[in-house]
Amino acid sequence: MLNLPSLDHSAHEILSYIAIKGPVTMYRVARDLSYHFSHTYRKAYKLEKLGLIKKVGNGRAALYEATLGGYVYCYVAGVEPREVVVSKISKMLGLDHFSVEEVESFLKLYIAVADHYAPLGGFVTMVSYLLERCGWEVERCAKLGEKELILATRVISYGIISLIRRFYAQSLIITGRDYFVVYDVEKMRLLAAHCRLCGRDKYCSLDPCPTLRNEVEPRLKVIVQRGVARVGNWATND
Amino acid sequence: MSINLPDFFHLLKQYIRQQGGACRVDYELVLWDGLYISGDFISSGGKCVRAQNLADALRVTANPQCVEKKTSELAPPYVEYIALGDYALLAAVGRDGVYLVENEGASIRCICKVNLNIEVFKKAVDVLMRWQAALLDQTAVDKV
Repeated sequence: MLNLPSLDHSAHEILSYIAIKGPVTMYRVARDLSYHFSHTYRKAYKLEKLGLIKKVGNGRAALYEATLGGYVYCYVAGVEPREVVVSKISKMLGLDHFSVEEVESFLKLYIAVADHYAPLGGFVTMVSYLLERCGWEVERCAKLGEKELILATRVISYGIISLIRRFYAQSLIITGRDYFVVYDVEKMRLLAAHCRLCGRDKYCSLDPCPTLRNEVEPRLKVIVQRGVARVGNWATND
Repeated sequence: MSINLPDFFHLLKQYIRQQGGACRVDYELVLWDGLYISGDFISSGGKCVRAQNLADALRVTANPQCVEKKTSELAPPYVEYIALGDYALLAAVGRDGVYLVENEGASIRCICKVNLNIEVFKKAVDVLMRWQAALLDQTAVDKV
């Protein structure tokens, strides 16, 4: 279960209003909900402390908008119009090019899988969390209808591709019986290595031991000479 | 001369729950958790008191709108809407009107002139002050 607070009626109303109409001033919130300033600001202060809303703008005019956590709260609480809530979440996660149905299916899956410590941060972080929890078989992780599952996996696929592109697009993976090396072929530097050549597990990046270097560099040379080390993700094996 | 509205609401709520008559009204304005205005009635916990002057004074000061971003020297009466942590919001009288000041930490975040007439504001605060004094000495409420 996601770590979302339970809110009283007024706080719920204020958050819902900000989520749908935001960014807005507290004056507009107070006026439109018929709340006294004291009541509105006290609730807003609590919502801000809970990380559900945040101040935006240049600091002179205090405008408030919901955070991703705030939007997810609204989605879980059934705030209407749901399409608006999902669209705002979609925009926040950089998923504008997916349909509302696809993003909503992803959200349903994420909420079903999420535990108390599930991150509500960037999209790639959320996908990484899903992979950590479910492995590659996301469908076994949560009970979702077949159609929703298909829609959700489209978004997850985008997350996986984004993750790989962000971190490994220019990488070469060289594996041997006793080592697993990720190499940046653009910058010609070792990104990460797991090595057991000396009989114990060692992880390194900037300080590969001579044994590992002697193993990897000749292979790397051959690969570069063959011209296969272009930008892209390549895996080679003995 | 100043009034802290959260403290005032606590006193008022306490008074209504002890001395108010049973009632059922729809709310028109939410003052605080469990404290509402409906017409001339102020209600809390299923009880009401009828106090037109207080209801009007609370409505006047409820949510003034900024009409112009400008600064001014400020003078009493002060109406403190909220003070939480290093954040505070208050209304006060400036050179040419009523001003709303938003403070955060040691600095003023926002100051603006609001759509309240000075005399109307002063009169409302006066009603609130008299009610506050009476609520502190509950035997005097009937005389407000």
